[in-house]
Amino acid sequence: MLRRPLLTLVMLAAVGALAAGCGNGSGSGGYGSGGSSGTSSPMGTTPSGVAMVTAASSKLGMVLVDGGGRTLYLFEKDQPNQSACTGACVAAWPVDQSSGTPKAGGGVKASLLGTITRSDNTTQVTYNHHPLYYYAGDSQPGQQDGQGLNAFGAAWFVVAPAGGAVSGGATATTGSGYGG
Amino acid sequence: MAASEVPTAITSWVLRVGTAAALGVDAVVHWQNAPAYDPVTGTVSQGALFRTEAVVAVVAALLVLIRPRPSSWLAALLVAASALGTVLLYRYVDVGSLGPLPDMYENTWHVPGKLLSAYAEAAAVVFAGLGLLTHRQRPGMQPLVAVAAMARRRG
Repeated sequence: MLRRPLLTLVMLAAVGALAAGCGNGSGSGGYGSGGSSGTSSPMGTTPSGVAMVTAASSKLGMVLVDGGGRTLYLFEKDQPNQSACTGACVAAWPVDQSSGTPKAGGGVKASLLGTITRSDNTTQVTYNHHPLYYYAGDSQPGQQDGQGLNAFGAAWFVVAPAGGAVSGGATATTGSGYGG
Repeated sequence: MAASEVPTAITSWVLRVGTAAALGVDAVVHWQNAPAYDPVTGTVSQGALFRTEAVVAVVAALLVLIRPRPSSWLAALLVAASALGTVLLYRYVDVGSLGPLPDMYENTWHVPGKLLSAYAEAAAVVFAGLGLLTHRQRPGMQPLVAVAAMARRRG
């Protein structure tokens, strides 16, 4: 007769674990927390919605951040001026949007800044032809928790002002056709 | 067969609904995330694998709901355990491309539904495992009863 209460306890524990998962899922990057359309940080744009990209010193050296200091990333799977990140990917890696020509801050080459129009007609900021993204796991300006992660089929890196990916402590250019 | 070993109707339904619900969560997450993984390709794309996982999870969920036989519980257990094992493997080990499978290494939980799906798969493993144990008293399942009895004697 002792087996029945034990079985009930195990079942309750399993239900609790599932409920915990549901609660966790509604948080950062959780199920249903994102959509197919990108979201940009309000910190990174001017009141008119124009993005600002600037360079900031970090533990990885000088890297690109938005106007609010949030770290920007590139996706190795992207082609020049073409994003390979859609759907759930955009929920985890929100795109850096701009309603117009992005502004270049200190340490950034204005000639490398650009934009692309995504499939949902939003405008994404590019740097040296790399579409730029945030990482949903970065909750504070200056965080670089997305650096070097593999997700959605390729790696994600912070971006050096020269226009390449910052791999570890060294700057490495990625892919062909991204020069200039 | 002792009468106490036969699961009550309530226990049976809790296990069946719990297993089906957990597998359902797993299926929805995989189905919704599949398009984002279509560009991750080997011989077969990761998106296609996600859709397959979703369909198989739904079939296993329906089996334990409609036909709660040991084979159904075993199918649900295998589906959930293999999915959980896969997500944990590719979260923590960079195994690269394996045969026709694409390189699915992803060292982050920051993907919509990924953590929820892993919790659901773990819950489904527990529910389906209990379902298999409590529904084992069917014709042809005597070996399982014998093994359990031996374990009790040793314990």
